[in-house]
Amino acid sequence: MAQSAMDTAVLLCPPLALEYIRTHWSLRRLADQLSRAGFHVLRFDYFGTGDSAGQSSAGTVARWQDDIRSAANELLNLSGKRFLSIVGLRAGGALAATTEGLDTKDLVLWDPIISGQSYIKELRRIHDSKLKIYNRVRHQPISKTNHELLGFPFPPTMQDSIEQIDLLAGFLNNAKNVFVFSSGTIEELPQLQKVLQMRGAKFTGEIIDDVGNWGKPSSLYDTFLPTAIVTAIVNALVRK
Amino acid sequence: MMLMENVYTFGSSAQLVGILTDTTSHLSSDDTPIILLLNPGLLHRVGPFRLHVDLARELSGLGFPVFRFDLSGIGDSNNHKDSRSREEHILSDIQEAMDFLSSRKGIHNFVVMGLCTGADNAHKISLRDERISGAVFLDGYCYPTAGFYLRRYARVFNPREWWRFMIKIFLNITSERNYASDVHDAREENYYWRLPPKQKTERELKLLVDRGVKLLYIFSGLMINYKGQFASCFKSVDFGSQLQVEFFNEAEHLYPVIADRKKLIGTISDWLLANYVGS
Repeated sequence: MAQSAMDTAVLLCPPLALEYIRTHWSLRRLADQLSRAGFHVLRFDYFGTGDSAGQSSAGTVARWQDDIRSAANELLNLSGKRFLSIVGLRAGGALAATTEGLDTKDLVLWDPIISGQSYIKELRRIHDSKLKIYNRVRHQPISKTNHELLGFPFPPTMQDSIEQIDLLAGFLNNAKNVFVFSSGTIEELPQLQKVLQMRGAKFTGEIIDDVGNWGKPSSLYDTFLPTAIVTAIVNALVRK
Repeated sequence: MMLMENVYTFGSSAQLVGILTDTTSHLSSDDTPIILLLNPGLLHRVGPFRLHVDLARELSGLGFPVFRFDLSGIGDSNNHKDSRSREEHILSDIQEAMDFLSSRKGIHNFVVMGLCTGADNAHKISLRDERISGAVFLDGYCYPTAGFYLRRYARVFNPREWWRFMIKIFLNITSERNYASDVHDAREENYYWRLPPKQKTERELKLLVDRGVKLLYIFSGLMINYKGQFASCFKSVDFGSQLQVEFFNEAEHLYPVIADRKKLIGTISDWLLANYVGS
């Protein structure tokens, strides 16, 4: 067992909405690999997502951040470990990074959402392009609404709270080490590095050739089976 | 109404994971079946766009316990380590779910429900296990008929279709990042199983009807292009009052539009109430 695994448990924070469904298997795979490396790992679903209670329309960022804190406490209690590390994928990374009160050793952001506004804008762009396709066979076209994005309800309260996310201005997680693993270029990465270094965190950012295609409408339902990034995450946490 | 959901692990040769959404409704009786929701393709027990969660909670409110679980190798369930075929693994997984629920709840009556490959598996398990008294197939087996081909090729005489075709070609030529390429695969994505020979399906449907199994077929625009296609396809089978067919011609295969999912859940709820509570 790696030294870090002897005293650390790992919490996995999933993405939201359609990306949650698409990435379920890959997070399970990551959990299995971390477990084989000796870590206790907890996966969970936020309120109103996956198997958890609540309607899909009922969540907000504040509620999901509470869920992350609850899950972290549960994990430390169950495992008896002293330290917490977190891996957040897409919106899961943004939620973990903006949650206060988490005493985090290592924070791994995997293809993270940096700006909630850009994220909602991108979802709307993909949704609109899909709508055009769906409407080609409909006699009564589905009208554009701001409250449904890619098959999931996004009511104003939820959307507003997501749009407030800004990792450059509101990175509240106090992790000592922050890793960013990305399948593509993140424009804001140098700025994020500066912000984190000013906070005294050690920053490691790496672009890894792996699946992602988050903004591509035709890849929406593709099975998400990453390998290189999963390996990089396990190695990063084991080395620490 | 308070939601009662419990996570269970079960299975003898692979650890399988499922969630039982129980019911406290007064409509529930000793004869009420448990509804089994099967995985669509590789999607885990939450279903496409959380359809299975919404469906389970709606049906439990109507008095039907619902068990949504992951087949071996999908979602949170483990793989089998033996050399049986994939089909054997799947069918034994479903039977183990029924065994588990029978021993826990004392219920031996089941309705199985599946979309896409889930419909394929629902058909196969309905044939194998007599505890199944009803089945819901979302884009289940159906075959092209003369009426299907007539409607398909009549489209070439429709000026609107020609116009769409020309736009598609234009977009393909002029746009490097065009979204028009989604048009043809949007209705085919995640759709991998193959239809068995029609005569075999006919024989099997007769067996199910003879056994008294109640059947609900709901088709999106992917499989058929007119509502009467199923009846026309299986003329030789006398379904009596055991069959209901619905055609949601505007819906996509995975129901990505919320309004379509609501309509789907409403149709399934009505069918269950009519066949298991109203009778």
